[in-house]
Amino acid sequence: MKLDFDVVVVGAGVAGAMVAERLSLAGARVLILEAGSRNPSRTQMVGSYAIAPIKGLLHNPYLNAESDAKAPSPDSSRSYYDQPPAPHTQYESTYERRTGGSTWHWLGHTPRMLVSDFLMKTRYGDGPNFPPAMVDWPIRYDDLEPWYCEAETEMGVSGSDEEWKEVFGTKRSKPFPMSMIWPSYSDNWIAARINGKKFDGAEYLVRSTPAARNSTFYDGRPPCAGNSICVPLCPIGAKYDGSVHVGKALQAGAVLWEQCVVSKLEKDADDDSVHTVQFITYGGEHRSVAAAIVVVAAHAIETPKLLLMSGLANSSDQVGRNLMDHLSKSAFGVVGESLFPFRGPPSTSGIESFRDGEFRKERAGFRVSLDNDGWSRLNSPYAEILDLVGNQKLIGAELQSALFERVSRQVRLSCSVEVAPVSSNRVELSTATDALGLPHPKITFTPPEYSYKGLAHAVKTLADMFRLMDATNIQPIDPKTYDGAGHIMGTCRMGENPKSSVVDSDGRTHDHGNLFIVGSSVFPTVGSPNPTLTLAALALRTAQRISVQLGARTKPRGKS
Amino acid sequence: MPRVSKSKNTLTPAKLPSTLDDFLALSRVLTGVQTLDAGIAGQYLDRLNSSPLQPGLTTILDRFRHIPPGPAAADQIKKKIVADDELRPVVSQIILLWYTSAMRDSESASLALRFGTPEGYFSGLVWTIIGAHPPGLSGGYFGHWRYAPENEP
Repeated sequence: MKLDFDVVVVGAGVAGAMVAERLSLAGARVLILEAGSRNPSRTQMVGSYAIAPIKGLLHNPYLNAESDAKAPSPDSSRSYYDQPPAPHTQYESTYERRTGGSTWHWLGHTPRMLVSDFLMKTRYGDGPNFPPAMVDWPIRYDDLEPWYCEAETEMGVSGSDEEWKEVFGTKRSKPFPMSMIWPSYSDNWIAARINGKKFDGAEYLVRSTPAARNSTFYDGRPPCAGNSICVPLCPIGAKYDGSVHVGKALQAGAVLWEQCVVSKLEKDADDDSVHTVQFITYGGEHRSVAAAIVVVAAHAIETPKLLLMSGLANSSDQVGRNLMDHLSKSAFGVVGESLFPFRGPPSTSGIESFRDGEFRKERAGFRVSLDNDGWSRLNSPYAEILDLVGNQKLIGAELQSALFERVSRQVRLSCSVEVAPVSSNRVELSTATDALGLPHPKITFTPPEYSYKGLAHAVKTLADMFRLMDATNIQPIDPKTYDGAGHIMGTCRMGENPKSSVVDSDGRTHDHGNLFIVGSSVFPTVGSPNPTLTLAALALRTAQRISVQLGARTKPRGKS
Repeated sequence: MPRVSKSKNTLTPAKLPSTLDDFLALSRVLTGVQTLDAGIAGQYLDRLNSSPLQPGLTTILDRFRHIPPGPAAADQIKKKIVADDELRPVVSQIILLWYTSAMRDSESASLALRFGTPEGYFSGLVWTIIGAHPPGLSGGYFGHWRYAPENEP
């Protein structure tokens, strides 16, 4: 078979772009196929954000009529997911199909997974109601630690070495590339009131959250100016996104074809190898390319969708199963003095104290975030203006004073709860199709009781924190409802056993020796941290394994 | 915090200036901010005049023209315009425009907002009033969020 490239990477997000850059530097001829495009530009999107009717709606600045029709996503269309309607539980997290991927609208937080997160069954598996699909990873934290350091360098992570020296036995071997993103005025005020206090045996300790946001000039990008809209868009590129490594990959010699929607991977007739990648252009042209190695980097929904469409890598029947997220929940209160929200990054500090412990035998761990966006999710300050004028008849200086009093004391806290893997939470192929005739993903998702118990505990914790702050006007929260965290994970789980997992610890599919998967789809379990740093570390590790496998085909061009 | 200036309103009923000037003068009293941009005022006036609120705005400006300038003007505006239940939704909308550049869709039960231009959004007055900045345009340096704002009222 004539091979057009050494490597074809499907998906130009953070994982695919990092793999493409590394392999290009190693001398491989790399093609990246991306379903979306790079338009609109960052500058255009800042203007679109300003006039968007709902500022929190992720897709608003990213609207692109052509891409939204030909490569639709749950961001561009609420009906893209085919899932049973409410009251059935919903999968709430969404993504972009765009060059650079969904990191365009991520918050940028990069906590690492804990030692325990890789060893859930070994450490906590004897709990009476421990989820049966909660397994150990085939690798340990120590295996991934050097790659975490590399990923932090690649993405440009700011963090406090002192605060993150050791968290639940999880240590760092290298300092953060940049010093921490400074905590907000509000963070410090809250820390002074809760640090050292205990709730249910764990001690509150506010830490600055490591983030792939620059705290100084780094990698040609400016320091964060606190523009407060990491989600949906950093106006100045101080926050890392996947477009950074798309640029590096192109610089290293990779080729990028945008607006090419991969429709099928094809197995060779004479063995189990997968060389041929079929794709459809926006103009409807059906084409294919062939490569020695195929890497699928289309995250945890489009990746299993493509494998199912191709009928590949699924001898375990695990493709698409164990879809996960974090259950996210916000609580709102008002404190006795001005904390000046609506400034700085949307969140700069958090609490790690509840992420691990013996309790994980029976319920999920969680992270707590301290947020800097007041009650914006409850329509602040728009609702306050309408109330103070419409109901209290205030204008002029009186209105200004009342607005300041009300808004400057608003606080939001939030939690992010571990979701345990469940085999029946899955991605399948819908009978509904898009404009190119490709199936929508069919989603079934119900959080397990293990995670609901964790969510209930997290909600009580947020209430306790507000109690310690003497907060008032606390918005009641229902522990049975949740928001998506945007952390789409699972569906192509990594494991040693080909009968119960899709890829091995290198990211290589058990069924096809030259077909690799990178991205959060390979996570067997997820802990409670934001997933991007972990998936980046894994992608860099997989790139190294692919480089070895390519061996004599390539001649290094630079760092590898 | 900016305060209402009592000397800016020099209108007399006998010498009616343009609607835009009236709108600006009224807006200074309603918002409590003296330095309002005339170009943006034109945008807001156009948006109000092409909305269902247009008749209410006309009534408000008529009443405003008959309020004598001076120390008692703000109180008169409160009594004759803001206290009027029919007109107050229009007053709310004028202030919401200057504070955020948003118009509320009055037909919608939920809070549905429509924004005009990026320069209007980034000129919203509310952000300074609450000690912050327009989201997306901090104008500050790394780390400023660690401290209380310098424009704290």
